[in-house]
Amino acid sequence: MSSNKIVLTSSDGESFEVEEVVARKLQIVGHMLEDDCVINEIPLQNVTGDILSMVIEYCKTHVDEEESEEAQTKLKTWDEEFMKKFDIKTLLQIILAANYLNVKGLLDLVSQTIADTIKDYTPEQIREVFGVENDYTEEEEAEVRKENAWAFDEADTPKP
Amino acid sequence: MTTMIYDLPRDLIEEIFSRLPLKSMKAVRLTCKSWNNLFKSKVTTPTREGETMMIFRMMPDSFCLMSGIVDVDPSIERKGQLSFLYKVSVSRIYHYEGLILCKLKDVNRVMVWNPYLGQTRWINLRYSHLINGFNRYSYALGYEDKESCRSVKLLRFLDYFFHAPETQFFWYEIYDFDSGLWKTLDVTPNWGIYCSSPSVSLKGNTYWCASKRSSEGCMDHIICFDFTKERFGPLLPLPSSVRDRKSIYATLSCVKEEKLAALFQRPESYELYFEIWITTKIEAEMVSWSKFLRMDTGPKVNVPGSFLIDEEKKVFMGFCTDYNSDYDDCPKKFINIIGEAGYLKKLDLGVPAYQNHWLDVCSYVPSLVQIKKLARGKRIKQRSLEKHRFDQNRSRTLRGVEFWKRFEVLLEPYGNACIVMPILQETKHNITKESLGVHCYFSAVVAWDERNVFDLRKGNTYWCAYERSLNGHEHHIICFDFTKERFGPLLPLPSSITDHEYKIVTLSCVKEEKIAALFWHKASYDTEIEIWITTKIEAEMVSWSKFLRFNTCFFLDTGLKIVFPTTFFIDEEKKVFMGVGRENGSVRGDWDYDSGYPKTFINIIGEAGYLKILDPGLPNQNRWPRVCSYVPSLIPIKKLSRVGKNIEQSSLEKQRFDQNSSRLAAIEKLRSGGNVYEAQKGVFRRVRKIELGC
Repeated sequence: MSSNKIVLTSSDGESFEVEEVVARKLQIVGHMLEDDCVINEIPLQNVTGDILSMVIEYCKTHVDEEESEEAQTKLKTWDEEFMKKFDIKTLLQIILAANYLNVKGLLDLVSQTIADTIKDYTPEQIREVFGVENDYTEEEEAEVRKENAWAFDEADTPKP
Repeated sequence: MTTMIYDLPRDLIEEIFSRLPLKSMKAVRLTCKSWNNLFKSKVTTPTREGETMMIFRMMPDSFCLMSGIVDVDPSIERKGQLSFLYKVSVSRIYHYEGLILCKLKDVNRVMVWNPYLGQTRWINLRYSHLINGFNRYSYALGYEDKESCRSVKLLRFLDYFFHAPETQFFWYEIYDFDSGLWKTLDVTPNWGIYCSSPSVSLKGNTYWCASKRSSEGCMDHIICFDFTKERFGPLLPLPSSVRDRKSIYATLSCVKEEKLAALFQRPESYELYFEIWITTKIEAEMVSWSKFLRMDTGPKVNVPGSFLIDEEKKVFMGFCTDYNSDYDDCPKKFINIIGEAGYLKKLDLGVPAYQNHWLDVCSYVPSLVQIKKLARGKRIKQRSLEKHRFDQNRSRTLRGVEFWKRFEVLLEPYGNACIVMPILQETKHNITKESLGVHCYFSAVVAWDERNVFDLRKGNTYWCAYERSLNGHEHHIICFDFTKERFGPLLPLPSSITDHEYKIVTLSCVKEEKIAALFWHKASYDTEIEIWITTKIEAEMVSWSKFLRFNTCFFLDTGLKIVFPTTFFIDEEKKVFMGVGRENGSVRGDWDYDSGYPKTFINIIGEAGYLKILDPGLPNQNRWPRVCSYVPSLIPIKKLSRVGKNIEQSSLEKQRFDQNSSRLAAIEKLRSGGNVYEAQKGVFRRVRKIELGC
């Protein structure tokens, strides 16, 4: 196997030496390599070192995705454990990085994790966690409740 | 640094929210206004008994959800507005069991939309072009029920079955939502489906009205595409009593996701007469019909683009546009509800009538089918066999341009951007074929300003030129040899021309082998024209023979005007000249003053004063029509040097470049003299005239 090393440098100057196959999991790097505009070191402006290290950890683990069910289950368990490490703020930073670096698998995984995290939140909790301001007046809020009352009720009823 | 979710791009927010279960949406929507707006693109209202949901396209980027209730007193209610997060310009919508296919103004992709889940999916098309300004591709969405989930697929095809057999062309392909790959279908159609023909989706498969390929356009069958087997079924008959009658309009609709309904109208009395049949049995390979409703005395109805029926209540609902209203420019949109015994109710859809477009509406049933699912991580590549088939078909379509004998002119109407606007001969086919017998094939375009540049097969380029010492006219041509990378000697134009007072020259290329030169008489360049063709042409030598000469005075009463200087084409065998012309308002009375600009025409002139003026149907514009001939080429232009080797310009070249650019800057300054304005700190200051040294 080719052990061509590539150095990825984060916005705060931290460098990571990884194998080319791992670096290629970042599609942004993959495209650079295809475009032949790469020598050995790639600066990644929009991601900090601590976040980049997590993305690389994900990529290393997913470097050869095997088809076998056993391998898939193993990966899935790893994904779950991996995600448990982070709080919501870190998750948001990772999803931004995954988007910028174009790591499809990680993007899916983090989106799902965030969705799972916020799914049982009340509006107040969501606002608090995400730092969103409530810009509704009381009337407007009532309107939104009314507008979709039926759909909300439907959704609240447990399915048989 | 903390990251607020506001910092996330909208598509990421949508990505997260699309994974939320329905019941969580309430909380998210109540969080703040902008998140609530995010959900306006989602429909969360399932159908109730007796209620029909409809989606209307109101503007290219906004839709409206309506609910119609057919009861003792039918009513219609507007449920809400749907819009997208992104800027989208939709030209048509089609409904396929909960999924909406949006044909876009952008011909390079289509969008599939699940309003219930608020999901959209963009699908890039592998090839695309407009023909005569129309998008002639047909689409259908369907699905295959697999063990775990529904696998959605998109069928797309182009089929010129109505052409003569030797010019027929078809290309059927299918896109798999799971793999994100296109596949060319191996079909030999014995059917014909018109591209405007609306399709109806039933149990994952799609049905169209169709004709036998051999028959003359009589749509007396239906046909089904089976999305599981990925193939078309046999032609299925429409009810025989209807089929016997010639020329009927047939429109299909779906009844409760179980049956098909077909509406028949006679062209001579479509407003008063219609007949509706419903299938008693329908499968991909068989069908039987029973009559549902018939009306032959009115009330008046339009030909509906789409219609719905309520089988139990024996009611028909057709969407129509009221052209008889006071607002003919923006007719109102209605639903006609018609039952047995002429029962009628006309409901105003309340769609703002600011647009005079065809009513674009589809009935709608919410669906939970996921369309966002993409294969995880792995990018699957197209198989090489598919690549090969695609390339084959693409070159066939390219050749087809030639093959279909279309007279194709492409202009560049909007600024400098290279916009390709193909105008095919489709509508003017008869004119060209009968009166001309000339096969003209021009296509594609480059924003090309130089009138005298032409490319011969050898890869070299010729210009009109004159001796540098003479401040004269273009009496020569010159060739740049791209192999030797140098100019050849000045080559003479025909001597009889240089002796006389012809001087304005335009070059053209004949069949990639010869050069044709067009000469305009100096004194009356509008009228007298002579064309010569090379008998031999190389970088270092040329010889000429006369080809055609005519005087446009003879055509004055026809309003012929040849644009000078312009591009032209000739057909050597038929001795015919084709040039771009513009309408001369003073001679030809019907200049379109409304738009203020003259029309563009193609003049075709042969021996003995033969003349034909063709209207390629281009928009009037106040600029020279730019046209170039086009021959498809397989030369790749994307190849770049391989990995790592970053070859630098040599220092000598750098030096020469710098020298030249500073010389150029100095010259430009001299040339513009006292009229240079220089922007300095936002203030325009007049720069003094620089003294010329000579």
